[in-house]
Amino acid sequence: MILFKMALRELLSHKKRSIVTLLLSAFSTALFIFANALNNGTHNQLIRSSVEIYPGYMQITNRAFEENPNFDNLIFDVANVTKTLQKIHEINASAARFESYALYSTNEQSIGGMFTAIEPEKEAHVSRLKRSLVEGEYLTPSDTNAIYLGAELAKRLKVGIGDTLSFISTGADYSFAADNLVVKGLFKTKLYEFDNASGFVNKGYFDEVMHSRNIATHIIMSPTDLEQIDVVTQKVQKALGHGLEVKNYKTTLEDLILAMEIDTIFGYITLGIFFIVIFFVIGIFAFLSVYARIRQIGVLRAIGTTPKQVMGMLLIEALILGFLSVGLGGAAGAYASHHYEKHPIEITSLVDVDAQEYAKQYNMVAEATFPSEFNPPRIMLDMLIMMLLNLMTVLYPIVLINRFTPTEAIRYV
Amino acid sequence: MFSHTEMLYVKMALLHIVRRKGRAALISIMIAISMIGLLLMEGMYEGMMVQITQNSIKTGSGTVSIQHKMFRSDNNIKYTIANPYKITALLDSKKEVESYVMRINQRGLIATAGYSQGVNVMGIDLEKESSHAKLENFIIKGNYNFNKNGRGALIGYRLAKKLKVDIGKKVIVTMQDTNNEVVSVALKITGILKTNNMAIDSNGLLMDIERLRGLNGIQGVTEISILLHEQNDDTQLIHSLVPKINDQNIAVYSYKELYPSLHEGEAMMQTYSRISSSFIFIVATLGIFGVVLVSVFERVREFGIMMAIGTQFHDIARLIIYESLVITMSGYIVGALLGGGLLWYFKEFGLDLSGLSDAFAIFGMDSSIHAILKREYFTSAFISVLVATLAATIIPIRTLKQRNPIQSISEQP
Amino acid sequence: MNFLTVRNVKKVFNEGSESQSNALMGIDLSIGKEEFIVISGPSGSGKSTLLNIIGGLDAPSEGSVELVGTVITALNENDLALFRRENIGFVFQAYNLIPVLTVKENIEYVMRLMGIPQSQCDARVLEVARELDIDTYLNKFPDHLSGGQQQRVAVARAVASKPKLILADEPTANLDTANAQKLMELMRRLNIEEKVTIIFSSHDPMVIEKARRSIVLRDGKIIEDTVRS
Repeated sequence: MILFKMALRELLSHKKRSIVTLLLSAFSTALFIFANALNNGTHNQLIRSSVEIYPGYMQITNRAFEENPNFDNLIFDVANVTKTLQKIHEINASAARFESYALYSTNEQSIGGMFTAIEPEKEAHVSRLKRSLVEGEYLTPSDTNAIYLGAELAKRLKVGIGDTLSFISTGADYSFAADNLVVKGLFKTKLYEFDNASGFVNKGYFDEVMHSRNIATHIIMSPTDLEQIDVVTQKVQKALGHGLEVKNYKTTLEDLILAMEIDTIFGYITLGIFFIVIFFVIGIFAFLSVYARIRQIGVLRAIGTTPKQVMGMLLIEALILGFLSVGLGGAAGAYASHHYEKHPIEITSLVDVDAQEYAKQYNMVAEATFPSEFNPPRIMLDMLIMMLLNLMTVLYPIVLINRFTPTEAIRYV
Repeated sequence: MFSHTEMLYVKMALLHIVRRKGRAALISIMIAISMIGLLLMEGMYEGMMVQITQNSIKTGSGTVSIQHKMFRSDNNIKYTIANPYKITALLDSKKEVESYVMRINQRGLIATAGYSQGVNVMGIDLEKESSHAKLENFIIKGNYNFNKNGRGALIGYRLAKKLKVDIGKKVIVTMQDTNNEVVSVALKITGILKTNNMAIDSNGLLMDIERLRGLNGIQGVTEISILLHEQNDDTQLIHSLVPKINDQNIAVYSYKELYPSLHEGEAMMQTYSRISSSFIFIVATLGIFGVVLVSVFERVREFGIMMAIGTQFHDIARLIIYESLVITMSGYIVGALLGGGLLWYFKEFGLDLSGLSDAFAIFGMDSSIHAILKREYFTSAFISVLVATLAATIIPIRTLKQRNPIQSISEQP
Repeated sequence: MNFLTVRNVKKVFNEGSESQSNALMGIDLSIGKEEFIVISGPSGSGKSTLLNIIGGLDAPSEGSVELVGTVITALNENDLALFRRENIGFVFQAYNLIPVLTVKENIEYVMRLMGIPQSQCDARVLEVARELDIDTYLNKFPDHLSGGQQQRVAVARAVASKPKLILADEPTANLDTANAQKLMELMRRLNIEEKVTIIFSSHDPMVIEKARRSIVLRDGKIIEDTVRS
């Protein structure tokens, strides 16, 4: 108790130094928490939109499809798979797709692109395709000869709602397939390349023209609990047997996730440089404050204070400053994380020009908003790390001071 | 250079530093580490930016690009430069121009037996590209040729992976000709490219320009891509070219317009590193200030004695400044040597991160990052350290003056 | 068994270097309980070094010190601290009070470390403070006191935890004659009333003559050891 009192009075008797130390450490804590929150929030958003725009969280394909994406390697009994999936309650929704390519033609233009069959109502539960509608209407299960077209592709084909175009493609039985389609709706996602090359039709109609009844290239699923996705993936795989392959976004979007990890690492490197300097300065202040008291510490030792108790006293000082600054910085960081989760940071210049440009260039989802993530356990962990850093700053002075014998310390000038 | 008394002050400064080597070392190490960190950050980040920019510029539209003014918004082959030789004659006379090539860019559909997708078809002249973009350096598999019959094609590595094609395999490329008729050609893959320009890696097919002309019937070219000796001469060249070309339909673009995100990325990186440096500068100044203040205050008596025997106050101020400069500059020298050495190493040999190359490619980066080493990194750091040191000594010196050192001789130690 | 036995203690500073100096050159000394001893001698004769070694603040280069049955020269740093806390009180020339603690807290510091309950501490502080005539400024901080007052607080701090031995290195050096006189009388009284052994160093003849036994050091050796009746 007396050691605590001494530590506290020592801090109070050097107010300016204590305040500078406190502010530096509080600032670092807030910066650390917010930088992590922003990093996680932005990455999660990017991954979420990349997944949800079209690829989906989980997918089933024929095991041979990845090696050989041809029409011999399809899911040939969609109804049966769907039935199995319905029994697995961790699966929230599923939808079958048939992806193929077609040459779209108008009188003026012929452009190659993705030509995909979807189950309109089910699809709405596994991707953002329906929500990406910008003009006209989304597909329904009773549609025939209607196409839901990417806005950029429509621009290139020079077609609008109600216009007709034709497609030429290969059916599931390798037969030649062609028909006329009326543009029913246009969609625009944040993926330029996707909007520039995709068209969707109702699978019921598609199956007639392409001879693909009960056949699909992919079945897309969304899990009830995203946290459990790896477990669910294994469970579905087990239920379906070896002929089909179940993968989740961690595999299908491996590159993107790795890219986000690299981005995180670069963020840490920059933060690291900041922190080295900040904690050097905090350490220097701690060092000076200890050195100014060498005589006093010598006296304390002479009259029976053990080296451990001296260390304890210095640690208490660091702890008091640490608690205050980490608490203060933690609160500020948590507030900022919470605020920018609800109101993401917007970089307006990106909104105006670059989002599209960026998307075109990098084939990545372009976001002009940067949300943070308010994650209390993560914030607590960040605060703990900062607390440890704070304590580490007194280690060097403690080691130095304990090298002195009491007489050396008392005589120290 | 130094007078006799001045040498004495330097000597005193050095001796005092040796006596208090612990804190002097802390400051030096702090400056050295932050220097190394900042140098690496600036040099590596700038290296990355240059790499991303160069990858896009070289294999893409060049530093300056000449196109039909409609081609950028509507990649239709009816928007061509009908008489490119009139323009290239102009370019031949420009000494800023390092090299230029003519290309035809067209969207098409690429197909293998079971898979097809959209593709950017680029008609190029292999020989000219070799002295321009040095495309042969980007070949990761196969050879840099189109076979003797001109029926070969180079393909982006991501596209090759997606299509599951390899050297010697055939692909069918379908596109429109100038009469809006669909034309197809079978090409044999002769080489696979990894340029880290996504437009080529994920979506690009390069074929012989004459063969492409034979297919689509284009007379001119869609683009003249120009590289300059000095990247910053772009505006100057554009200003001198536009009136001479004197054609309303022809537009001359700088890479800054064609890739605004790159340009913005550069600007953002610069602002970012400027903010980081000034922040570190302020924090470091605080640390130096703390040390100078303590080392001045604990020697008030010593300074008093010096003044009592005839030293003028400004000489004492000079002593304090010398002392601080010796400490900080030794940190600067160590930091500059180590940081500069590391940067030089990474400039010459690159930082190899090939394990992560696919993820880096998403950002348009190579797996090996080559740092940039500029003299201004060191001069600006030198000025910063100098200013920080002087700023940190102002308050201690002023406070010392107010304390009136001579009086302090009689005070209790 | 003697209260304090010093056997052949030698102390060499900066051993092996150019500035090597032999501070103590074989000191043998026996001191009994409740003695009141002054160690005198010119500057550099080894007074402070001897006191520091007796108090376990410094280790001898050779020889041993045994205090109340414990060979303190064989203790490690931590045990030494505990031993000092229990058995020895120190009074320094420069007072060396803890600036962030009040007079009362300075006095009770060692007792608090020993874990003595607060009520007992309070009683003892008051008792010692009255004895030393410092009870009126118990709640002040040291830098508000005069030198004489500070030194009395230092003595109070040394005596409060009832140590068996008090070591005082030139306790009067910074005091004027009146204050020095007063401090010596006080220490003598404590020696008798608290039954505590006191060893102090000084080169002030007026202080030296107050002691019962006088040991004179010169060049690291005892040249005189006299007991007054």
